[in-house]
Amino acid sequence: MEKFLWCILLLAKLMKISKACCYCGTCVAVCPSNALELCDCESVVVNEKLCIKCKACEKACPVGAIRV
Amino acid sequence: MRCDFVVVGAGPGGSMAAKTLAEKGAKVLLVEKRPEIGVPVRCAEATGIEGLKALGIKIKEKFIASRTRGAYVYSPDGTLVDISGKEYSGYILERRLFDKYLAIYAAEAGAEVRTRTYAYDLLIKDNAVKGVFLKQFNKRFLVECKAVVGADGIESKIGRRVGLNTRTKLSQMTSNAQFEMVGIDVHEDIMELYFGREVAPGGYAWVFPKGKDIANVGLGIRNANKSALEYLKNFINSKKHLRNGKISGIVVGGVPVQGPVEKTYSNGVVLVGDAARHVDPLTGGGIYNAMKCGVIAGEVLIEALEKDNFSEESLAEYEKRWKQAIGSALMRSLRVKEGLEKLNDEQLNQIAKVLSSLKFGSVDLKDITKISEELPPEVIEFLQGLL
Repeated sequence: MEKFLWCILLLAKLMKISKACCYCGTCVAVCPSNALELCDCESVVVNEKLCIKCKACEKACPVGAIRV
Repeated sequence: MRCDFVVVGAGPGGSMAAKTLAEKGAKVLLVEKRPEIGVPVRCAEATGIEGLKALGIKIKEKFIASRTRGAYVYSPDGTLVDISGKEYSGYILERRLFDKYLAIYAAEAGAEVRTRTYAYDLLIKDNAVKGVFLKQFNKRFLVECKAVVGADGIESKIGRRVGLNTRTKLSQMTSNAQFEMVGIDVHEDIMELYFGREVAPGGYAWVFPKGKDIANVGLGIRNANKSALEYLKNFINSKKHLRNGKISGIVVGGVPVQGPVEKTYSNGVVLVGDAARHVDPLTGGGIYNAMKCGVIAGEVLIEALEKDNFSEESLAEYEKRWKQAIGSALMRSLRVKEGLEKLNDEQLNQIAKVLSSLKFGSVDLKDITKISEELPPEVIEFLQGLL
């Protein structure tokens, strides 16, 4: 049970990109630590190790698809 | 596979670079990660006529949605400044076709075009670019080349890969949303621009007509606490002539307004268009700039091919030439934008009142100082900066 709760906590801490994402790349361009990458046409890849939780992507997203 | 150059990104900048290179006889591969060139559109589609003419592009009726003759600019309190006339003529393009035709022109010149092909890495040996790793469908392969044109948009991966700083500060990135709307009441040949903190903080809202009752309605914002989409919905609801329209398309994206990146070249790499932030900081327009820089990149790379020298020193010529071509215009827009940023809504209204009482285009400093005696010094300073 404890393990399960930890998993939930960990998931809650991760950055979330919702299905509202239009893959415009604005978040990638403003990320100060190069933690984001637009791969192929339809995926934004987050490198959690590089993310510094500055929320620049969240503020720049035109459709409000990102929660940090 | 082996070729002379790989151009990454088939937008206007990339296609023009590929076309220029192919015309001079180089073996070029133009790759685009999307399945179809020009789609999805990330643009409000307005551009000037003169620029396209100067570039010598075959203009097809198919990719012109409408012809405009200037703009009505509205200040926060609704004061109208009429900036229309023959000298302000422009096109509203149909970008999905425009981009496609530019790629077709490149292909006709001899470039090989591949869509649904994603450049995921560069092959770098001895500090020089030797090739591009591509992925098409699920196949990964390497294309060996001598230099790469990075025309890969605001999210530019190529620039970053070779250590060029293409990052845009959050405060200098406008967040944009646009609806293509039908069934609205617009002037067929006049663009509408709306300014104000309520409408679009740090940017402006636009209505660009694409026909009798169809238009691109959008806005760009900066440093706001709601998303661009929210602002756009509020804007449309607040305008009587837009409120009852139907939405036939959604476009979102970021437009960097900090001016060009510090360095647009590296060993075997040049950056073009949005990747190099060749965007006008005031208007957010970048179609002509990207195309012009694409042509310049092509010319410089051909010269480098003749000398067989793709080092940083050799490609520095690219930056020198694009600065000659569009540098001063970009810097001027940057200055005006920075001046505009310092003004509040009340001051914008005062400026609009001054400008609306003058015939735009024939203003000189004396007129403005005479009329603006009662205006605060910041406003006068800004107006003088305009001239």
